[in-house]
Amino acid sequence: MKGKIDPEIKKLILWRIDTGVPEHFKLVMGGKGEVDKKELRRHVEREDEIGLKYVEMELKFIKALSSGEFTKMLVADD
Amino acid sequence: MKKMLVTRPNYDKATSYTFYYAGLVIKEAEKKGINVIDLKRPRLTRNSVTSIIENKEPGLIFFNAHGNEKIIFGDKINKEPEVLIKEGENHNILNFKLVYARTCMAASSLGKKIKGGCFIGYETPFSFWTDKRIDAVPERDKTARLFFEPSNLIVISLLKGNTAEEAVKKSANLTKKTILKLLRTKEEGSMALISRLWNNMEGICISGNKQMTF
Repeated sequence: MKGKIDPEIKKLILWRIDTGVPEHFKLVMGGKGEVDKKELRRHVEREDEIGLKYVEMELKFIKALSSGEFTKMLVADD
Repeated sequence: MKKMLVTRPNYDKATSYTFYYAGLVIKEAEKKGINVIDLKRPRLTRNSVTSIIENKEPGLIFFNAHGNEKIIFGDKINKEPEVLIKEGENHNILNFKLVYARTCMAASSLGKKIKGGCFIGYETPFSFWTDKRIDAVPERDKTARLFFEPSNLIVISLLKGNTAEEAVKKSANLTKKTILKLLRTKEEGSMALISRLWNNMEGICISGNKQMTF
């Protein structure tokens, strides 16, 4: 499972966890169980199934931000 | 009388939240005089789900469970989640039905195989943040509520007679309002909340007849 995430992307996602996820948050990701901030960080470090899925979701969101898709959704009429 | 089938396992953190929030939808349905068939332990089994769908013909089916691309699970039987619906095995029992599956991934393949009906589900994992300070009590968890209210709104809108497409749109609009509120208030963890809200909203998929109503 090692080496599946680009090292710079991994650094970015870990930074986002460190700076953006409060200590009292726990993530529930379907049937994968629940993980707190420290555990989430460890999963990303290890690049295991949960870590890879989290990185995939985060990248999807970051791409939506950078492409303008996210902003477009916010300004669109209901 | 209109009938709605709801499956509600409750054996881990994720299902304890879906159990509670599906209960709120059931209350709304009952207020509207809808006959709710609420399947939870010990009645929640594959046999009972199959029998109810085939014999009682509920107009709306609301699954709350774990899942994957090809499977919707039910309760744990002998320590393993029981497969309720499996693509290529018994997915045909959902043909011509209006379904909302609050499960991970089931819309990416299974939902697309349903014929003559409408399947609303997720192509991605349904994920949410909880507040561990309140020790996983769903009704007190304001963090998780941000994720479940738009999800519940899909079924509540269907109960009000909206089409599948309208129901999903109303849910997306509520998510959008929540995101805008989070951006304004700069609440702690707001970007973590926003990114998962975005993932869930983007992961919703409607397969089949989008104009279908309950």
